[in-house]
Amino acid sequence: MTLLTGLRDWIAGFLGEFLATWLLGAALIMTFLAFNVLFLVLAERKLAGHFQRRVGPMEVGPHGSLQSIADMIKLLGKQILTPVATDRFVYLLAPLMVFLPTLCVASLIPLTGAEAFANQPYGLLVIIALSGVTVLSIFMAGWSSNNKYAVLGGMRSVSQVIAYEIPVLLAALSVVMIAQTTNLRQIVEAQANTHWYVLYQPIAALLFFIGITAETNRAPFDIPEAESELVGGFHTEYSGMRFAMFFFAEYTNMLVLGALGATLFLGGWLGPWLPGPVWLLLKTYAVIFVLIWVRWTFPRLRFDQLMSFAWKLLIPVALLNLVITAILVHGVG
Amino acid sequence: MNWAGAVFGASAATALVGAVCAVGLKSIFHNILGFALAMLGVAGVFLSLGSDFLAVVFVLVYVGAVAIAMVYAVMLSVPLDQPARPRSRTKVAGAALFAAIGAAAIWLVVRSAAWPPATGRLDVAAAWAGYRFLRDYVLAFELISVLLVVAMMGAVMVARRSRASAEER
Repeated sequence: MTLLTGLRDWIAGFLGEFLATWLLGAALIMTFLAFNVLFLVLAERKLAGHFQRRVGPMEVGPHGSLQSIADMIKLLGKQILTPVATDRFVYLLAPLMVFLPTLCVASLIPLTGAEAFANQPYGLLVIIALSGVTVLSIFMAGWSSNNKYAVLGGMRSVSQVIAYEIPVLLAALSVVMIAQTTNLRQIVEAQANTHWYVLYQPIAALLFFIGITAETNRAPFDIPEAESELVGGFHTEYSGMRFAMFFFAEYTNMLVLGALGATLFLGGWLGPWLPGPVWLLLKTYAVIFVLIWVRWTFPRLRFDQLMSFAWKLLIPVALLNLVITAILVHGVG
Repeated sequence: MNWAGAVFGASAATALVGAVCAVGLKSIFHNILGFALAMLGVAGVFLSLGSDFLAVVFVLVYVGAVAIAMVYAVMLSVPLDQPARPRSRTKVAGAALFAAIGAAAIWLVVRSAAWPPATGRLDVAAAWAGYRFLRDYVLAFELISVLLVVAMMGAVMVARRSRASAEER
């Protein structure tokens, strides 16, 4: 910690206190996110192996633990191809843009209840608003590639996000109703006085979980990049680091939405003995573990099944849950 | 340096560039991206003026929902490898006329209203907005709800009819 404050004071010498704190915070978060992606990719492959009674990657490092680093070096060294008939400007912009909203969102999750930037009165709204922007860059990638599989993947992604954002929002809203605030730090602090909200809102927690599975484009909702139907979906025409940016954004999105789920329903940084951020990370990775588990257990839905599931089941249940919550909060107190 | 002023200038410039892209570019997808950029710029303007809630709502509604829904218009556009269709002169003139009328109306309203100088930071807070919507502007609020219900029922009817005719074929 003294190292960090020293570094901050040194930067503050020529940029001022305000900018130094924010720059350092952003750099720390980016570094963490980069390492997190390496870890999650490895975890996904090892867990997928074990769920399918294989061993997963074993060659690089002890028990395959350095596989992600080898993959990263491969991706960095790979030639970046740009197809001729693309809409060049949008094609190049999409992989740069896809990561921005997720990065902004990552800085808004409260880690300890002490840091300044996570104490926003509309924190939850900002997170939900910005995660809706990610799909725009996914569609940019799909459309500008000028490839029918890519367009189909982008189109599916848009339809899916529109459908599944609503239950996520409604589920989060029922938590807001209990906590009486959209400030994420205050939501966690409210859970310190009572219980974790997963006990009060089990249905909302389930809806939220299903919704984030769809929003992160993961099986059984991975139809925007269904390999057996669409080659690679929206990122079919991307290679090397540009493809890696989409990958990076997807895994970071998993972490951020998992952390949001942990904050809303599992009490965020709260927990005995260990420091706050460790608890938050443990809970987040627990959510992500279930996400990976689900992905390698269930088969992919068909597109019309996916849509019916959201519009005919999830949204009515979410609305009903919201009404019941409102009655309980304001009627019973 | 005045941070709020710098943010305001940058956001306003972004909004203007986005608006020009939304109207001027040939490809409908570029128009949508321009629209999203313009709305981000407007959100930035709200942010620089201290209305955090309005800024968030702008991103949530206009970038996250309206721009995304506009993406469906791409279905109606020409493929990338074909030349763009030329614009109809009369349509451009009509659009310009309506835009001019709208701008004139806004200008008149701006001129006629009295603008007291801001007393510190005025945040249109969520609770305040909700209170006003359900007290003072409840009629407008309910009218908009009715309009939305009608629009939704219309969408369902259109979808049902096209599905029925597809089955007949």
